[in-house]
Amino acid sequence: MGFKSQEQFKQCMQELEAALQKEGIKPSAVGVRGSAVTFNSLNPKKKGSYFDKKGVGKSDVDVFFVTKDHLNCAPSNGFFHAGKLAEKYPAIGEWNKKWTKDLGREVSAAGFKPGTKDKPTKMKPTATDSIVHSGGL
Amino acid sequence: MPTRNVYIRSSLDAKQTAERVFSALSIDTWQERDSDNYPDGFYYLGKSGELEVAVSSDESVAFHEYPFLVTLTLATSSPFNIDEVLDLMVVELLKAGFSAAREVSYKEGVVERELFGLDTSSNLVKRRDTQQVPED
Repeated sequence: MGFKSQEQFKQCMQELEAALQKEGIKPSAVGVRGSAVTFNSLNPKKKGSYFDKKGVGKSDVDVFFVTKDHLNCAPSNGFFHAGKLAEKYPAIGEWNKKWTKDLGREVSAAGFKPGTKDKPTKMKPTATDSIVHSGGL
Repeated sequence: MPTRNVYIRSSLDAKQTAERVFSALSIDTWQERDSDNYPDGFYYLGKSGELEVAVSSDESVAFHEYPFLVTLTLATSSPFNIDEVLDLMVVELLKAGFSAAREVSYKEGVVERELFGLDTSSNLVKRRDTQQVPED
């Protein structure tokens, strides 16, 4: 949900890959997650919630990338907040704003470390709550 | 779209904190939004002219005493410098009773922080420290 067509989704993801490349970040996966994918929220903190439950346009399109790279902002349990990424990597901020305008709702890209069995990454996208454009989770 | 982040300390809940932040910044138009890209699954977004301000909960180890994050974004077309706007915003937040800090840099598990305060003439005072955080 949130995209007009498969082509638009593809373009959005390709432009994110280009923004990451511009900033020297190599992603191992790029995609969309959350209620824009599943309709019903799978977030345990939001039981009973669903896409645009609070009103038309009130749910974001949550985009993600996964990377092993050491980024210039401190991660929190393997999670890189979208706003913090936008501060340190302006091309990601520009991408957020461009696609917020194009889709008519807030769009942001958050980052994740791959994590390990012993040290799982918090909030990490999974196969059940995501559509992966490239790479693998 | 230049962006800056400020961590704030507040004993209020997320919604009350957002209300107080927007009131301090004279932002009348704001809304609660759903997003799984935020730790609690939601955040508050306010807009005023070329300025956008998001308020969300935060769990950064280096800023454990500051449970909320204020993200400031300025339109590229704005004639203002974002760091000057940030200083003005921080002064208003401090006057509203929040403590505030920001991340200057992060490298090899060390976060350099800038901690904000006001002197007796309400001028912004900045000091720096470092915090060790676990490398993910």
